[in-house]
Order: sequence, then C-alpha cells, then structure tokens
Amino acid sequence: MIMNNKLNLSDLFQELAEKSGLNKTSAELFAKTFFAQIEEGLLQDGIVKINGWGTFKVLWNEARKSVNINTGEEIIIPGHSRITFTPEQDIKDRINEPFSYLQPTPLDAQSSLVDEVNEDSRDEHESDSTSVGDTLQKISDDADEIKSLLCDINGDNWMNTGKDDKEETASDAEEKAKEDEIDIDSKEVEVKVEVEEKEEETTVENKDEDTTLVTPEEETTTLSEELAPESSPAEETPQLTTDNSCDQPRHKGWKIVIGVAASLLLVLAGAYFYATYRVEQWAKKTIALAQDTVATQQDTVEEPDTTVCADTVQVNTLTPPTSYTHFVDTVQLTEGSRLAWLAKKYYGSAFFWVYIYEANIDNIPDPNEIPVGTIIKIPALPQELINPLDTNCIKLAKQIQEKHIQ
Amino acid sequence: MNSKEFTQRMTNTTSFKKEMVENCTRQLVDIITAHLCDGDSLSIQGFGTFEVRKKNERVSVHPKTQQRMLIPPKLTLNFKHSNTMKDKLMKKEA
Repeated sequence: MIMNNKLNLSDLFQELAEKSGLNKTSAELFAKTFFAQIEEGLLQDGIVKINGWGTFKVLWNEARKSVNINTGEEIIIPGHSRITFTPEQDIKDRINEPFSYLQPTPLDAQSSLVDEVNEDSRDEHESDSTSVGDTLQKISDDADEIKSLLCDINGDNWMNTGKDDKEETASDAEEKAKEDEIDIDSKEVEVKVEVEEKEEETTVENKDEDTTLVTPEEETTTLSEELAPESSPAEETPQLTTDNSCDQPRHKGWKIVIGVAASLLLVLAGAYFYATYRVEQWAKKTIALAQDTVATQQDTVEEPDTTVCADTVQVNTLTPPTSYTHFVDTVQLTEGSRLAWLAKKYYGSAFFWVYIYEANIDNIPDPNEIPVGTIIKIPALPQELINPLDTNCIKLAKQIQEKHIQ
Repeated sequence: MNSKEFTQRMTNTTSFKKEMVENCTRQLVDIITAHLCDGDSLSIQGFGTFEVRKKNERVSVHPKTQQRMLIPPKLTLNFKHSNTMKDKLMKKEA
C-alpha cells in the first residue's frame, strides 16, 4: 500500500467545513468533540458504536511471557488494554474496492501449489507479468497456426487477409502518384517527350516534337495513359514518360496535360503505379538511354533534364510462367504439410503456392486435399515473380489462385 | 455507548441540533473513508491513527473438510491507538 499523505485533524475539519457549509470554527469544534466523545465513551463504557462507521472497543490483553530478543532473558509482558476499531461492512467494502473482484478459490490438496502461491505473494508483480507474457505468446502462436490452417483449407481466406494490405498499398500508390504530379508541376517542366517501344507511337511523338502543337500531344498522352493500365501483364514493354526541356509556349498546354494525366493515373493506374525500388532504378537507366537517342534525333534539344521523375514510369514485367521445366527441389508430402507451407519455405510467401500447384497439377486432383506421400516438385521461378514485398507479384498469384478455385 | 447516546452527547456538548450532528457525523465519516481509500493515513492527536493495510493472500484450510482455499489479498482499515490514549486506559485500569 502506498502511503500518499498523512492527514491530521486540521485537514479533516477544513474539509468538513467546505463540505457541510459550517464555518471553520464550528467544524473544528465538531471534529474535536467527535473524537473527544469517542474517547470519553471508551473510557466510560469500553465500547462506542457509531452508525454508518463502526465500533470502537476496549479489549484486555492478558499478561504473557516472552523473551527479550537481545539477552534471551525471559520477561513477562504485563496485561494491557487496547482499542480496536471494527468498521461496518459498507466501509470495509469501500476500503477493499480495488480487490473486491477477487474471490476465494478452492485449491487442490498439493503442497507444491501452496509453495507456488507463497512465492506469488512475495513477488506478485513479477510473476504476474511473466505468466501473462507467456500465455500471450502461446495464444499468438496458436493463432498463427490456426490462421495458416484455415488459409490452407480455404483459399478464399487468403483473399480476405490480403485485402487490407492490398487496399493500403493501392492508396499509398495513389498518394505517391499525386506527389509526383505535384513535383512535376512545381518544377514547371517545359517539354515532354514520350518514348515508347512501339515504333508507331514514337514516330507520332517525334512529329509532335517538330510541330510543337499542344492538342495532339494531349491526345497522345491521354491515349498512352489509358493504354498503360490496360496492357496485359504479358506485355513486357514499359511505357516511359520522360521530360526534356525545350521551348516556353508549350508551358500552359503541359499543365493541362498534367491535369488530365493525373486524374487518369489516379483512377486507372493506381495499383499499377506501385514501382519497386529495383524497377525504378532500371527505369532510370532506360530513360537515360531514351534521352540519348532523342538527343541524337533532334539537333535542337538542349541538355536533358536530369530531374526526370522515374516514378511516372509504368512497368508490367510480370508474366505467369506457362510451363515449368526447371525444379529446385522435390518433396514428398508428409502429414500436416501443405502447399502454402512449402511456398512459404521456398519462395518466402504462402501466396505463391499456386505456382507449386500449377507445376504439379497432374498429380493433384484437389489442392485442398492432397494425399500424404504425394511427390511435389518445387519449380524454379524468376525472382521478380516471387518477390513477397511486391504487391504485383501477390496480386498475380491471387489472380491465378482465383482461376483455380473456380 | 451506542450511536444514539453518542449523538445525544454530541448535541449536548456542541449545542448543535440532532439532525445537524447526524449530518455532520455522516459527512465526517465520508471524508475520512474517502481519504483512506486514496491510501492516505489519518492520525488524530491524542486518539490514534487510522490507516489502510494490505493483507496478503493466504491459503486457509477448512478444519472439517480439509478443503484448501486460496484467500485473495485484501485491504483492511486499521486503527492504532496513540500513546496518550494508552496511558489514559492504563490509568483507568489502575
């Protein structure tokens, strides 16, 4: 029990004066008489009962023998009176309120338990915290196991658990895209060069460059933006949006272009926009190359803008493997083993179990119930396809998964 | 001395009305209990000290059934009379 304050009578009657509306002198008088009367009553009757508080009683302690702890000498403690105070049940309950929820519990007749209890009482807080920590740890472990079981049994669960992550990343990507657009705006980049791998479009772009018209460029940008998200994952052609500095009058038109591009990007390309660090760097390289080629084509081009925003690059490099020829390992399915577990072990995320399933589809009639002893071949997959941090990879795996579940 | 007598004596000595005494007694008790609940201790000079103590949990055995029970810890109100009070009691005994 932490002792906060030592109160005395004067604290008491001051508070009484505030509460009851008495003036200070009467409150003091009252409080002093209160205890004086109790004392008097005790000396007179040996018992004072106050309703709503408790009973004071004088008890007689008999003389008893004892030992002087210093000398070991036997002494007799003479009989004496003492005053006891027994509060009423109300007051007892109010005092004991912090522990009121505790109830006496029956114990097994084991001495070991008693020892434990005694220990507990000695260092209550320490043992409490550790035991709670242990149980929590155990519960979370159990939860993980159950989760993985559920997920494996019913592929839909993966979707449910993955959904939140997906939404988050999508919104993240949107924000990022927004920032990028603002970035470009504030820098007031003057000219835009669109480089695409498709030759037709590059020629169109070049025309734009020469004629310095605003409207056609706008069209092409919107076109390209619309094209970007719809392009299938199989299409390994990145669409690049690079900026080159040139002449002034295009400035206003560029702003409009940015506006249109921004809205389209946000609506259509939100999820696709999530570019990993690796991809960014790769894209930067390509941009540099592209800029070089543009520079050689056009004599009028000034120094290429080095502050090109690589984030506006869209890349769809993911292609689900059509056939599995290379295998890293062969596993015989043991009891309790699952494709999701294998996927987690070999690829780092359970989402990629679909690839293992596809590779062994001839041997597995039902992915939810694979007989024990089935030989499972673990296919070798390209690293960019099974990057557990890349949402595109997981998204693709989910798409495949959905296909199989249907 | 029971509560009635106590109130009667209080009215005599303080010249407060009976209702007033009862009301004030209730409020005083309430103040004391509230402070004790907060963990404060109250010492009245020449009378004694009220304080709250924690009783640790313990195992009790039912004498007949030998059933062991774990009695939870609890907070109790303790009163210890002062030395002046003790002397007065001794004098009375003598």
